[in-house]
Amino acid sequence: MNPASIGVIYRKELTDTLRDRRTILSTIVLPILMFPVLTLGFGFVAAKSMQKVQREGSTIMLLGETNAPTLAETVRKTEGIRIIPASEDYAMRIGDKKLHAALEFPSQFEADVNANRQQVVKIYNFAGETRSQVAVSLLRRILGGYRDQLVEARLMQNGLSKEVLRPFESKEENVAPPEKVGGNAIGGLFPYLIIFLCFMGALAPAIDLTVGEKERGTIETILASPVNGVHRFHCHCGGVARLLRAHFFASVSGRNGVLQERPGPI
Amino acid sequence: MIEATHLTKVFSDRKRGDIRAVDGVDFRCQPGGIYGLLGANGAGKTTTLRLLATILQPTSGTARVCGFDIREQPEIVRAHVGFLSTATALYGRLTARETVEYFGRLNGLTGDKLRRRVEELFALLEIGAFADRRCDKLSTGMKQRVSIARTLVHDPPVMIFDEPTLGLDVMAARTIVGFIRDCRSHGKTVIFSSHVMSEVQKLCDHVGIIHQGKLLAQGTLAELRQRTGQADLEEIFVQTVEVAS
Repeated sequence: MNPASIGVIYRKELTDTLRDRRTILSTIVLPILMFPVLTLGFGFVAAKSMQKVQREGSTIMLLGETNAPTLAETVRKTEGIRIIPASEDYAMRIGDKKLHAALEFPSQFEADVNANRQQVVKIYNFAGETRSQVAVSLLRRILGGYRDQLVEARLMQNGLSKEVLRPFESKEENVAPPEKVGGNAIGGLFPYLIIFLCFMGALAPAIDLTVGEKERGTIETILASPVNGVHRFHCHCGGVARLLRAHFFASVSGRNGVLQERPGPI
Repeated sequence: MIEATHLTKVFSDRKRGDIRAVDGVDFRCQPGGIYGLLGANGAGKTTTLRLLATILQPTSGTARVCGFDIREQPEIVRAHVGFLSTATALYGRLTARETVEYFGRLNGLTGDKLRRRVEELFALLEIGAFADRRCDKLSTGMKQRVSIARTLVHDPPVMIFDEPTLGLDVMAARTIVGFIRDCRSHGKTVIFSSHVMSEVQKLCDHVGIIHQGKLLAQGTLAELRQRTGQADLEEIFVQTVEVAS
């Protein structure tokens, strides 16, 4: 192994790389810009779409409303819910995304519940569809509240307080400064990002070094070159050193990209 | 000096089976002479030259370049050979000077010796005006001159040219042809492949006709004329190939 020859190849590869816009873009510019744009951009888009869903509210259909007049009234009065008249084609409407969910009360629901007989309320929905799932969670919250009211009433009838069911509560309280909380969250992601960045940043130089040589027709030039004392192994060493450098720059650039939008010092 | 002895290269292909691209080829090229390898596309010219340049390894047989075996001492052979073809491209993002210096350094040239050699070649090939321009910004003719400088930087005694004028315009082709002649006048051993009869006729002292990997005939132009009874090289080539088929 001749370190001088590896150095010659490495220096040539360095010059070659620094003049390649694609490599500069993928190892330095993209990681610095990508993280702020991706994280802030995605967060912004997600927040916007959630606000839109909340603003527009959920369209709900009540099936067998007369079986549960009290509960139906609670649903009707809940903010963010628009009730449409019951019809047989609720499943099709949910599939067409015109209806977000349908709540079905079985016959004698209220009478059975008051007589301590368990009943099942069905929530028809579109699994995986965001707005339908928002409606489902809203309905679950209403049903849960109604159930709590019933339980509390029954306990009172039997001379018991609701604390019988929940002898104590637990409460979490953060004592760490907010910047440390943010730093910790990013710190957990950091090792994974570095691994990802290493590969991403070195991808363009790796392609350039292997397929690029063949594509541009320089592979025959280097293989036929009079390699006086230079083993072809040196070409690989020089090339690998170039990739390691690309790994390094991509990682450093990526780290800087992450740090740009960190909440506080890590 | 190049001496090929039963030089053979077999490629294995899953569909077509074994392909004998070069089949037991024997020839000698002397210093100060140009040996022309004449053949149709796919005849085995490029494979033969790649074997001599040690880009490929022979399946059997061997060749000696300046007395060094292409199988046993490929690195020393490469140090004695300059290989030029239309497939030997340049690094587009390096300048002409950087390119020639890079190949010079790979040959062990350093410091003043390297600088002197590069300046000498640039003056000889009139590269000075565009020496510091990137290769991808050069015209085809300029690139050819830089390629020539790249092949000559270590002053090799043997030059191998694989269809060097293929796809070039008249002016660029003339530069190459002139350069091949200069190599001969400097006492270098030159081997040259082409399917252009006029080029071979103009340049070569010895001609070898290769067809389907086999060297069907070889000798000086006068010897080939005498043997076939044909005056024109194209007729000599066609007759030789037809007799073999």
